[in-house]
This record gives sequence, structure tokens and C-alpha cells, in this order.
Amino acid sequence: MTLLWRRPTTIDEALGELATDDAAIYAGGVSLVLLMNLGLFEPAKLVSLAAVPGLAAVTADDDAVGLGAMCTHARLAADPILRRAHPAAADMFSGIGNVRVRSWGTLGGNLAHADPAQDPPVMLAALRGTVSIVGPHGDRVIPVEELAEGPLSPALEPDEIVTSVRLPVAEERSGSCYLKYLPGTRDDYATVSIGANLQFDREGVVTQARLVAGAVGPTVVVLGAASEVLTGHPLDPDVLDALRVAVRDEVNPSSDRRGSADYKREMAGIVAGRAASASRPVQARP
Amino acid sequence: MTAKRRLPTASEAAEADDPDRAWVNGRRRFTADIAADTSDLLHVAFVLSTEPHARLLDIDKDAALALPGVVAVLTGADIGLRLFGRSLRDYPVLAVDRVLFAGQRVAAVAAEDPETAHRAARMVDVSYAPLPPLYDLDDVFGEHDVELHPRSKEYEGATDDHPFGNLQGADVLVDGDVDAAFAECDHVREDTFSFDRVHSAPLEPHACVVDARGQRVSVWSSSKVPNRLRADLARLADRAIADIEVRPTNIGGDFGSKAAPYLEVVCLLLSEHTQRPVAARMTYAEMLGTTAVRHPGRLRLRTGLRQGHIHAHEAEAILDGGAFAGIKPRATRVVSILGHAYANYEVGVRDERAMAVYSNNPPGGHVRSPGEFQSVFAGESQVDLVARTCGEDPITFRLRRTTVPEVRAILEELRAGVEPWRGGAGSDVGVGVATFGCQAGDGQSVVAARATSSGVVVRVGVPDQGSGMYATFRLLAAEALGIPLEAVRVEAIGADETLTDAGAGSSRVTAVVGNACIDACSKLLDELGPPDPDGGGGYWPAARLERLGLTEVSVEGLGRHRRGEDAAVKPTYGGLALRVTVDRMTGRFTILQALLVVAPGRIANPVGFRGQLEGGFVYGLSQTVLERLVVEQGQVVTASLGDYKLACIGDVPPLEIRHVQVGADTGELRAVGELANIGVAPALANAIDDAVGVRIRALPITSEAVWQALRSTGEEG
Repeated sequence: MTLLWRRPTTIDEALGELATDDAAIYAGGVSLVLLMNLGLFEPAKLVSLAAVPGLAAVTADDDAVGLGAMCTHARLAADPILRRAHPAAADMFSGIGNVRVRSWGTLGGNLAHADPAQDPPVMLAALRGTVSIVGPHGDRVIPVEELAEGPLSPALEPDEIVTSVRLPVAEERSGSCYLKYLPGTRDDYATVSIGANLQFDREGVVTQARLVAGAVGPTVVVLGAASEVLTGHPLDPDVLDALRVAVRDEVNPSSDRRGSADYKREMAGIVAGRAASASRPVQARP
Repeated sequence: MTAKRRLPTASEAAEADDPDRAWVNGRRRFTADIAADTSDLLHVAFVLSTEPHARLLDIDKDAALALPGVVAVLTGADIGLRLFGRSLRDYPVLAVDRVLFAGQRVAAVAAEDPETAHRAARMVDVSYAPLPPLYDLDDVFGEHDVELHPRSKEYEGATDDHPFGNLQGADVLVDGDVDAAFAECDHVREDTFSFDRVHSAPLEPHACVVDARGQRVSVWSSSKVPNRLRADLARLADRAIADIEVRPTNIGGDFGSKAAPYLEVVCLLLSEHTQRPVAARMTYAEMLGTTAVRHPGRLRLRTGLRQGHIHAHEAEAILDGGAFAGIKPRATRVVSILGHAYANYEVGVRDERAMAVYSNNPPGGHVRSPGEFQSVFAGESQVDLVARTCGEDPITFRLRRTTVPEVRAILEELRAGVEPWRGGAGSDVGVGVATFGCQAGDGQSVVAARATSSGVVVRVGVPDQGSGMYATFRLLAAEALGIPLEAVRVEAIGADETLTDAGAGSSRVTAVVGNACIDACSKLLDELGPPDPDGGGGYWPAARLERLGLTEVSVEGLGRHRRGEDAAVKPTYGGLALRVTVDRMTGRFTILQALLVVAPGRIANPVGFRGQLEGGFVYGLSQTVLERLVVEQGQVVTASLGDYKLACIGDVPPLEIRHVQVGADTGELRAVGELANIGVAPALANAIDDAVGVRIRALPITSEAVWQALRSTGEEG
């Protein structure tokens, strides 16, 4: 059985290569090669995006930061533009997997893998990120959390390509935080993860909240009701208790070797409270 | 244009040639490297049973044979029932009429490349008729008429002592009337501890290359027991032992796993059949799912105090031995689990019993400290519980009851070491300790040493499994002879009838083979005479041989050890203290500090010694908090190193190692290979109890288990 390797130099050329059956995009290869080694995925053609220009850039304008899909996690962790605009996102990238994964894995490959236990979709969804997608039938932009339909099931046609993620610039008096709960080894996927992005008024009252949970459902979970609990209140112990209960009801984890469903549900509530507390920007802290 | 090649400096060249450095500079060659360099090689993939318990109805190999590149398919029907095993031969090379665990080898495919072999193995169509399975201890002891080994009495090594059909074996250690002793006690407590299945998980999966073309058979294998492999192959493949040559090979980690001929017999038969060299290498899934695991089970301890003395101790261990008992060496068919709890303390009367039973799970075998890990967890956990009952500090309680001078010294050192930990401790911070011991296993080794004008060569049968043991032999020989290290070379010979060797295992190597090296060197000195005091530190035997008119001197050295009163190798003792903090909300615990104190005897190789202790600690930590080979309905579900997690360097807390010396240093070699790993579990359980007042009695100790315990305590309160 032969495997074709293609290295197009333009997006159009790449789209052309993907038009045939059983072609797969090779971004960093981290998850793809793992699935191929396990015999779970047997493409006939791999289309590398490494030579397509413009896919590995970080850009900034007045409204947003743009992260190229072919940026590696290590690159994003160290990127000065991202670190200034969204330090919590840069920190999140620096904590992905291990040094080998961060050096090879790419943002686009990670999101298209549609694994709810990965770190980037959780934090980027909390920051209201959007994904730009190109395809033979036109370009589209969707929220990060809508890129996955289920575990390993991206909302992508086989001949579509993720090109970038846009993160709106942070509002004033807002803060964000990504917490990954790793009760066993550091070299593992999260048992539960929470991305939090909160805005406060001058008195420390939450004016807007967006919490997203990872590893507790078939896709990342945008915690709508839980975020509502915070809005209009300061982060006092009563509110954090209410948040914990709300999160518990909103997630739907399954039991695996990283923890029972019960444990993950409880931990999601606790970690959400800690992530919310850690999101307070310095000027909003009492 | 060609770049001018820089010649290596003398020290670079020496480093490149230094056999001890080959472990870390990438030059070490393993069995898979031998395979890669063998031409005309066939690759073998095994067909593994998908059923935990079933009759084998039919194996259709036509589709596999039709695949281009496939050369042969071998089944149990082709080779007949060939049973291997140590004390009991109950494990078929290939299943014949029944399978007893999911993962059992039922057929083998030889093909031109590994991918084709694996593809063809998936195309071999095996028909099973499922039989009722026994998945756990409750099943085994429940009501059923399932007998997993109905012909067990016919196995080689079978004994008449068979109280019930699914018993692998039993072990007893009784030195008095324990009931009478309990009747005299004023405090009695009983606790049941349990432990899950873990794997030895070496990083090099099991592999072999067998070339059986012609009269001679050459074997390269990751086996840590080349002599036994040679004997097994002769018997199981019907060859004269003299025709089989097991070549020296490096091993990439063992930890107890690499002692059974899982691959080699079939490869030999396929090589004979195809008249080509044949190689096999397990995948990690195959290694984790089909090779021996640490016995899971439970251990009930009942201990009584009389006027503060440990007056009565009763233990009952029930172990899941899995589908076959053959991997275990002991005549009892039970791993060494008795006598380790409370081993370091004075105990009035002991009554300890253990049994291992058959089930439809992966076979149990030896994983670093095969039964000690479980029993020291139980014993040293209960010692703390008993100490609390008496209102005594755990270290003081141990000090008052130990009879071993080394253990007393270790406890004093631990007490001094943890003193600064207690000051300023937060509310959910705790300290736990445990003491333990390690004794080399029985065995005998002969090494050959030859001194020539250019240096001394020591030839050994034991393969280096990655511990760096050859560096230790070199150091011992250089020191014994008073010659530079560079003048000593240690050579592996593989299996050989001239040099007895029991293989690498049982923490035996440094003490037994090391003593054989020392013995050989002392015989060389007998022949050569004592070193020249004015020799200037060089290689003095060159001049001596010339003076004696000899070109070389050859001798053999013997090392041997049997456990018991007059044991040649004394036990090693250790103690571990851990300081932990526990997050009450999540149950997550963090080990802040670790202090390991050992009474080691002579340290032959400081780097190797420290490696054994640090590696042992991390190994024990990993099996205490992370590792769990999950088997559901007989199927291994954590069959990759992504799911079967091993500790990484980021998980390891700061570890301080201290030595204590009791009495004069007599220069004796002792064992440390299976010392440090066994103390981690009880020290952690004790520290967590000290921190937040909950007792974990099951391994592995996870944050969720602590959270669960905290929650149920809260509910009760």
C-alpha cells in the first residue's frame, strides 16, 4: 500500500490536492501519525501545508490578533504579540503536552483534530475566538467551539482547510485564565480544564463572563448558565459556591482512567471557581 | 567540496569506545538493531486471542497465506501442545484447543516485512466458542463449575497438593499458635489492603532474532536469562542443546518481564520451516497485554499487641494469578508475599498464608519486588495504624519494636531528617515513613577472567539489562587487581555450558556476579602474585607475566547465594520519609519532599548505586500513584503507554538520599535493586493520613481516592 506525499505551495494548489478521495492534511502530524500508527486512519495521500505561505504568521490589528493555523504551539507560547494581547492563551500553549508535541503540533491541526481534551479549543473559545476556513465552495468563519461536532469529528468538509484563528482584543478591566487539572502525571491530557474570560467593573463586580470547559463532554462545553451565575456579582464565596453547582449541572463527563464521571463533574465546578478567581485583573482585585 | 574531517581527540575516542557510555551515547545495540542488520529476514506477527475464555474451533489461515509477502502461518494445531513454565509447565507456546485469556498467542505469521505480517495476522480467521469466564477473585470464589485447567495434574511440576481446581499454589509461614496468641492480646486490629494490576513496562519491548538454518541455531533475544532460554528452546523445539547458541545481547530494561520464551520458540520453528532467519518484536500493546503483570489481589492483616509488644500477627493474601502460573519460579506458585509485613520488628507469633488462583486475566508474574511491593504497603500502613491506636508517634513506635540495628539507625536518621519538615507546616501537610528491606535472590554464577600483557578480560554470562552492571564488574575487578579501569574489559558471552549463570534478576547481580568477579580476581592474584607496590599505578600484570614467562593467565570465579541463616549476601535495609500536602477540595496530593535512608554495605559503583535508588524510588512512585493495567471483562483497555501512564521527570519530587553505616564496614556487597521502590506506597498512605486523617488501603493511591475518602469522612462526621 502506497502513501502519496504532496507539498503544495499555494492554498489553491492545496485545495486541488484535497479534491481527491482519501487525502488528508498534514499540519504537524502529531495526532495524525499517531492515528495512522494505530491503524485507525489510513489515508492514501498526505497534503503538507508547510510550504503554503502565510499560514504561520501572527498578526495584530485594532480589533483582533490573528494566529496562523500552521503556527506550532511552541511558537505561539513564545510569540510577543500573543503574549501581550492574551497572556493566558500564551501560557496555555506553553503547557500543551510536552516539548516534542509543542515543537511539532500546530494550532490548525490541533483544532481540526476535534479532541475535547485538548487545551487550545477550550481557552480560545473562552476568548471568543473564531476560525477561518477556506474551501472549494467558499470561505467561512465560525466560532472555535463550533469547529467540533463530536470527538474527532470536526465540522469540516474533507477538502476544507483551517487557515487561522482570530482572537478579539481584550476588553478593559478584563482578565482570563486557563486551568488544567492534572491529578496524576503532568504528562497527560486534562482530567478537567477550564478557560475563563471575565470582565469586571471598577467595584470588582463581574459585568461579563465566559467560561468554557474541556474534557467533560463530547466537545468543549461553553458554560452558559454558569457564566450567568457570575454576571452582576463580585467573586465572593457564595457566588463561587453557586458557580460550582451550576457547572456541575452543565457538564457531562464520562468515566475513564483520568477519573470517574462524578469526580470530573465535581472537579469541573471547583476548577471553574479557581479559574474565575485567577482571572481577576490586578486592578479588579480587592 | 568536502569538509576536512576532524580527527577525534583521544578523550573523544576513548568515550566512543567506552562500553559503559554506550548506554547513554546511543551506541548500544539492541535486538531490533540485530534484526535491522540481518539480510533475508522474515518478520513474525502473532495472532492473539480476542476471547478471555473459549474453545478454539477453527483457524482459517487461507486469506492470510494469500496475502503477497506472507511466507508461513503457524498454529497450535501445527506444532501441538508445547508447554513452558518454571516450576509448573502450564503455558502453551501456541494455544491448542482452548484460550484462557484475551491476548493469548494462537497463531503466528511470517512475512517479508513487519507491516505485512501484522496485516496478515489480522486476516487469520479464528472461530471461538466462548466459555464462562472467571474475571476476578469474587468470580473465582463464587458458585460455578468452571475449571480453567482441568488437566492440571498432568502438567510437569504438578504436585498432589491441590485442594481445589483453580488454585495455582499456596504458601504458608507459621511459627506458633496464633489464636492462642491473639487471646492474650489487649489490642487487636484488622485491615484489608488491596492492589491493582501493574506491568513491569520496560521501554524496550520483547524481541528476538532466530536463525535456524542448518545444524546450528543462533538466537539473539531480549531475554534476561540466556541459559534458561537455551534450555527452554532445546526442549520446546526438539533440538539438541549443544546446537543452540544464544548470543550476547543488550536489554533495554526488564523489571521482571523478560524471562519467558514468548516469541523465541515460534521464531525458531518458523526459521526451521522457512530456512530463513526470523525476527519478532512485540508492539507496546502486545507487551502490556500479553506479558506478565504484578499480581493484583488483597491482603488481610490482623495484628495484636500485648503490653505494647507485637504479640500476634496473621496475614491472608489472595492473589489473582491470571491464566497461567508458569511464569513464576517459586515452587509454591505464589510470589514472595509472606514475611515482609512487620519484617523489621519483633513479632511474637506469625501465621501467614497466601494463595494464587487461576482466572481469565493476563498471567501474573514478576514485576520488580513481585510480592514485597504489596505486602510492605499493607504492613507498613498497618504499623502506622497500630501506632496511632497506641497513641505513639510512628517513628518512635517503630524504633521501640525493631530488632535490626540497621533499621534502628535508619529510623534515627529519618527522625532527624523530618524534624525540620514539621516546623511551620500548613494544616493539610503531613509526614509519613516506612521501613523495608531487600535480600538478594538465590543463584550462582561463574565468570572467567583472563590476564594478558594488554589487560584483563572478564567474561560473564549475565546480560546487562540496562542497570550498567558491567561498569560495576569493571570497577570491582580494577579495584581487586589494583589496575587502571581502562585495563579491564567485561565481555558478555550469551549462554554457555562452561559458565553457569542464573540470569539478571532477584537483585542478585551485583552481589552474586560481583562476588564471582572478586573471586576470579583473587585467583588471578594467586597466579600472578601480589601487585607491585612500586608499580606506579599502571597495568602491572604485563611486566609480571613477562617475568613469569607467561603469555596469559586464565581463571574462573564463583559467586553464590542462598537465602537463610548462613546467607552469603546480607539483607539491605532502607527507610523512606515523605512530606505531602493535600488539597481537601480535590483530593490532589503533592509530595513536597522525599528522604531515603539506606544501610547499603559496600558501594561498588557509586553512580550505579545511586541510579538503582533513584530509579527504584521513581519506579515505586509511578506504581503507587499512576500505574494501573485496566482489564475489563478480560480485555486490557490501557494497552498503550499513552493510556498506561508512567511517571515522567516532572512528577518526581526532590529526593534526598542518605547512608547510614552500622558497625564496621566489612566490604560485603549487598542488593539494592528492589529496595527503594517498595517503600513509596506505605510512606505516601501514612503521609496522607497524617495530613488530612484519611486512610487509603488500595493501590494505586489516586487523588480521586483521597477525595472520595475525604468526602465519606465528611458525610460520616
